Amino acid sequence: MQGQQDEVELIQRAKAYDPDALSTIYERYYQGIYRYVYYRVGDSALAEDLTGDIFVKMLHGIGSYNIQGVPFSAWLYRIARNRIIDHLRRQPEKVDLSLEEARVETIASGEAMLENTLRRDELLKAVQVLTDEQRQVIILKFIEDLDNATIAAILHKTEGAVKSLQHRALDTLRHYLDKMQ
Amino acid sequence: MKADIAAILDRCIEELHHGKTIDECLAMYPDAAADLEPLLRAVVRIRTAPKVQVPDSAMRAGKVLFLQEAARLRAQKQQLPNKPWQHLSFIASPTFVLPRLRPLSLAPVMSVVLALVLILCTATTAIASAHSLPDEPLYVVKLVTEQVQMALTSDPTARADLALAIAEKRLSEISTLTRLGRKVDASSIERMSSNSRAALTTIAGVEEDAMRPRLQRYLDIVSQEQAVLSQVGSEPTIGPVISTALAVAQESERLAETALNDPSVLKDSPQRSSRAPAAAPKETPTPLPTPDPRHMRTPVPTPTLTIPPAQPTATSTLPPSPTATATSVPPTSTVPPTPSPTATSLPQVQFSGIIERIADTKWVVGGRTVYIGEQTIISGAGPRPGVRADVLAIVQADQVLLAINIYVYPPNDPPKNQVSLRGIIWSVDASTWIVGGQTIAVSAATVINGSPVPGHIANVVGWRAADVIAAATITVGDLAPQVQFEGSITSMSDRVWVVGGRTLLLVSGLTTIAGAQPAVGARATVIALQGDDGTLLAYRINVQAIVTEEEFEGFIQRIDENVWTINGRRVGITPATQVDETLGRAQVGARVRVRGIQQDGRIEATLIRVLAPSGALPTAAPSPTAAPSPTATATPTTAVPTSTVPVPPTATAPRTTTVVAAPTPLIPPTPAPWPSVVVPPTPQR
Repeated sequence: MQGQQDEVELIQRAKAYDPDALSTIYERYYQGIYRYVYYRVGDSALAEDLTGDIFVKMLHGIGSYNIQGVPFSAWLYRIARNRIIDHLRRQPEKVDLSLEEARVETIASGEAMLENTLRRDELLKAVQVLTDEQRQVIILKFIEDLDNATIAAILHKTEGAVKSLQHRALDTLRHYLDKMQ
Repeated sequence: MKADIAAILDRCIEELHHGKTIDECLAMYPDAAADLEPLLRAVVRIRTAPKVQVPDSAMRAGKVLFLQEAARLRAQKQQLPNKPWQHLSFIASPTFVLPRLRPLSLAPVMSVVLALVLILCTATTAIASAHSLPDEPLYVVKLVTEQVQMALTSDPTARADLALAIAEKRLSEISTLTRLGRKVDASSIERMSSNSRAALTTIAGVEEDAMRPRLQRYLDIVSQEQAVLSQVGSEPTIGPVISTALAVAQESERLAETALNDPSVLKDSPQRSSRAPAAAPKETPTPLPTPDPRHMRTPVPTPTLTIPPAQPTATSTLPPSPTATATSVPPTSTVPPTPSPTATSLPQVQFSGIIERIADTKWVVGGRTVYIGEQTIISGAGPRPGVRADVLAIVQADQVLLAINIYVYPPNDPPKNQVSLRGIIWSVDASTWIVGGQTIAVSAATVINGSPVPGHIANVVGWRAADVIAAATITVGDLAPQVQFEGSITSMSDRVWVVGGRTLLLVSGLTTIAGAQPAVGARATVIALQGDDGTLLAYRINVQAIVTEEEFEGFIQRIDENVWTINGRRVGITPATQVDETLGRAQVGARVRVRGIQQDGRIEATLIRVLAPSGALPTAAPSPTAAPSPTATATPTTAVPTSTVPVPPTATAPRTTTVVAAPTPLIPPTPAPWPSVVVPPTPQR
């Protein structure tokens, strides 16, 4: 409850363009939004540009954000979702996922050494076999750790629909991952 | 149990999330264990995959732009309040009572001023003056009102906030005057500089823990102030004042940056008491404010781009060219960089070129992108597209160039590649416009007259740099002349259609296509915008439907890359085709139901649903009367009724319909075991 109250106060300050509040929001959500974009467009530079754009759009829209409505995170991810759709609509060709990783920082923890642990590039490849909605559910649920209610709000779906998408996505993924082994 | 698998899976995922093992979850649902296990193992693999990390430099650079935009919106909001009567709040507020005056020990003079303001500030005057600009009669009322507000505010934090708000007003006023093309006089610039400096002084009076957000707000102001000053121009009458104001702003910025990490610097600053916020003398650019050595940049971490402080030799590598007139230029030697041990380990690059684009922290000079950090030294003339600049930058590991020092040459000689262009605005975004098919780079230094709206005529004056025109001025006029006609579509490509014998250009963001799926042969009503050269840009296209939607069932006889043969018919497969393999794999021999769009005798599938896998008898397909699973909520309700008896291949009569963009499943999918490891080779969306 306290967390919710803090969030409400934060958003109210952000509505007045309080730089402190906006900095907090930026730092709290940037990585998540970036990853959400990155896994959908597969290009780190493009993901940076789109993420920047999404936050500017958030600024322009925050005045009309209704605190009583969907959670702020869901609202922000909706902006991200619409921005990506807008981008993809203008880019009819499918993104080439040749896995440019040059600008993605490497985690030097021997990530590839762990048995049954997906490498980052493998995960990126894997989610591309999903439908767009399935991919969004997987990213939001397992990479961003959002709950079903928030995901449903982002995708304009019911929680039941989210569970169904999740099931189908995992079914496809497990076949894909088995094949990759 | 099968029907609940999605819900059971979700519950197990939650349990995993809360620490249960896969085996424990499976034990809870033994009937579904076989189905659940591989899914839960997939969940664990996905969850344990390392997360993508965005490069810190990109995040920080983005944050600078984000906060600058926020500052601009904040200033805009303050300039255009929703409730005009709020301007009178200082009169109605509890602060406007005599007991509050006592601690301030208002001087008799101030009391007189207060009395005058009370007399002068009738509601009408106050409201009107709040929006007034420096060249308007009521502006003086606005200034006096502000002074009274300051005098009535004793709390140091409130004073700082008020001073910051006043500084933002000054900034906004100059910006508005510039945007409106009105003259900005020297006193207005001096006032902006003075109020800005005064704001920093008031921040020095607040508690240290309240100082940081105010310093950040101040940095936003002073950063915009420099941008605004670079737009004002360099008329001989105000050039020296601008140079001085820029130097003051730069020094204030550095001081505020240092104070972010060490507030005591601000508290100890002599400028708090002795350094008057007034600008330097008008007639000469010198003496420039000499920065206090204690306020020089120090290699402290900053919240923006981590540019190591330049080496002492950095400025000496970029001497102004002999052609440069450095008379009104703050010499770079006034802000000598501090040696940095980290800078020596990074390679540097030096180059010259025309400034093609200025977008806050990202400039393009001579075709190369350089990032501007808080510690980048920008010297010489006011930066603007089209003028030459020398750049010294460090090259980071990711080849990103971070500017240490940029020297901007005065625009004495207009570049030879100056161009002007008139055309229809195709698209507009923050930094790039397309006008008449030409890419126009727009920066903070670009003067824009009128509202940028696609479809309107624009006159652009700028400098050509490679394939881009760096705009100095853009004047937006009326909507381009419109032409309306109707005809058959005889040719279609991504960007060019021929309708009724006329060639149309389609422009993303400008062209709106409504009605049915466009196709050659369909009729369309067109509203087009006509350019000076007769070019027609499609504005609104309404396509009349001619396509038919068809469904049939049959066996897959052959699978090629983009064409499947089903019951002897060639069925086109596109990226939009959805293949539903819930009940079996889509392979030769499988029985399927096809939904698609028929055009020119060829059917393009929107959905292919496998009814029975290869080798199964058609009667082995699930009963069409089977109840849909609870997972049906995942799909739209536009499904074909499940009670429909499977239709023979030729039984469904084509029907005319408006084509929908996104195919929807015929039947809500029921979970079905996969016969083998299958990755659908077909594209799905």
